[in-house]
Amino acid sequence: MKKRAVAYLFILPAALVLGIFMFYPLAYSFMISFTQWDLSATRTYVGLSNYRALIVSPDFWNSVLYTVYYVLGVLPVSLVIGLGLALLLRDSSMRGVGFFRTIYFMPVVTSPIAAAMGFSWIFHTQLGYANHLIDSFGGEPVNWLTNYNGIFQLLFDRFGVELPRVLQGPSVALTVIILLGIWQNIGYATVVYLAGLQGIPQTYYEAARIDGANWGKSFRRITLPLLSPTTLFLLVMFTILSFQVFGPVQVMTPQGGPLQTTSVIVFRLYQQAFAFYRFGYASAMAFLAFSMILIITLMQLKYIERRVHYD
Amino acid sequence: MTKRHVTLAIKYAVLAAGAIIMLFPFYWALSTSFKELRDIYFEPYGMFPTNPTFSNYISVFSKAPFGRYLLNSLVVAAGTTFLQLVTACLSAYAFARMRFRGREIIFFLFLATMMIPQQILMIPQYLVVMRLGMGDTYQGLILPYAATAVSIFFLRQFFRTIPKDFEDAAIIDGCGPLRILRYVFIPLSKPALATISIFVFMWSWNNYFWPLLIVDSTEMRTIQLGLALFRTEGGIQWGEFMAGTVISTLPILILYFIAQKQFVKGITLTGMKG
Repeated sequence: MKKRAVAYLFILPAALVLGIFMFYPLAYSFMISFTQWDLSATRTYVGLSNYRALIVSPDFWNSVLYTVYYVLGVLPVSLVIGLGLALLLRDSSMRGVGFFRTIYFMPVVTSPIAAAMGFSWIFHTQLGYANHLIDSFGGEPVNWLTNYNGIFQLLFDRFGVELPRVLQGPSVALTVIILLGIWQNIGYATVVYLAGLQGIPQTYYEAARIDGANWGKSFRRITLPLLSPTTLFLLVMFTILSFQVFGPVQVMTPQGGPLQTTSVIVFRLYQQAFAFYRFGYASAMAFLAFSMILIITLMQLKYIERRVHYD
Repeated sequence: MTKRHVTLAIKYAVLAAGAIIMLFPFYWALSTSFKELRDIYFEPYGMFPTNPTFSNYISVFSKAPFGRYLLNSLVVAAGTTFLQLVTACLSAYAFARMRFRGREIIFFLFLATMMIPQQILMIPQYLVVMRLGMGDTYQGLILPYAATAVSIFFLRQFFRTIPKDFEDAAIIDGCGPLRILRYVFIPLSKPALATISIFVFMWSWNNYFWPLLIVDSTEMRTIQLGLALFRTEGGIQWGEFMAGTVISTLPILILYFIAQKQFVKGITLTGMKG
């Protein structure tokens, strides 16, 4: 009897913290998403009207589109480069491998705010190093953080083709933020892939070599399939984290970018709540946006899981 | 030169090129931070400052209380880490070794908090902290993160690998659960505790969103918040911005160079970043 009481005492501190700062807020947030409230004394119950207003709001769907651009921009590139680097760094008998791993992981531990400061300087229109490089190759300087044109549209401009809006791609400003995301994620993907590669027995490759398989074939038939659980993990992880990008957006484009083209979901959410005091509306937005992530994550798990090989 | 040598040379070339790209933003911020104003406007692309100077660093500390920001971040990160270790040790021990009604359900509920996105919680968390009168205080910055499911789960998994025999010996010696935790489990779990500490410290140091919501006064700003707001203030030039950036990044990079293994392990296992 006494023992049992001790057990409850042991979990009490954690339970209190999680209860007060996680469970209660979750319920509370759900409740205020059905109200209209600016923190004043009167809170009006408005039913589903916040959700209804969101579904017909072009601004909201734009922010969803920009967030999707960001996720689709960061994810595949980080995964491919991360896998490539992991393959290069796989052989730990190679000299300097530890040194390179240290370097590639450095951006992961760097705060997104500091990284965003560094990138703002590199992509400064007049004094930035990026435009200096372009200039030294004879190109025109780019207004990186103030250009709202979609990057795919810019490519097609020279052929005089006007792409449908969704295919115009992230604005130049959002592309810079995507580059920052890639830079920060590569090291993470590399380290996770390295761990995955370590789990593949060397004997598989030897057997393949005896059967006459070349590098490309054993990569396709052994490495990729056996890494699929790692890829799935990274896919889910990066999707969830990229959906929540906020800090770099706020530092690099404090107003939400040229024509609001960097206003990703969390940026808009923050703005609605803490700049316009529309707490009910913002809460509804949070629930709507994150039920989307939940659905995407579940779909990734369900459909890709089938194609994943667990040895 | 054999074929193997050529492959190796190509490998190194690719790795080196990649390393230069990854390092460039660090180098560029560092180099700019030592440049004179003249340099930045007339020689902005020089790889090295023509006349290295500390003046940017000096003016950063005089224009904004960066010393105070660093201190705040240290207090918050250390406090958060310490409390998470305490709450995680206690509850992980209960979940790993004690029998009590509702153990599985409570554990599942704890784990479920990992799935709740921060952004859903931020508005009510803000309201709760304000109502508790903890806005703009260290408590307000620390307490919401005094326990997390990630640390508890990670430590519980580790505790479960500790052989029962160790504990039995201690029980025979008449030790209660608190002493068993203190003298058996904690000493045996040092690597796991180090991993958690490093990870939590880094996460807390780099956290921006929460301080942005609840900090009001200049004196309570953490380094990330201070840096971000420094950017929005007028009359500051790029050499100073970069000096501020270096100041905010250096502590965590030094820690990373000292405890690289724990960093990599902590971040990959918990799958969360700043």
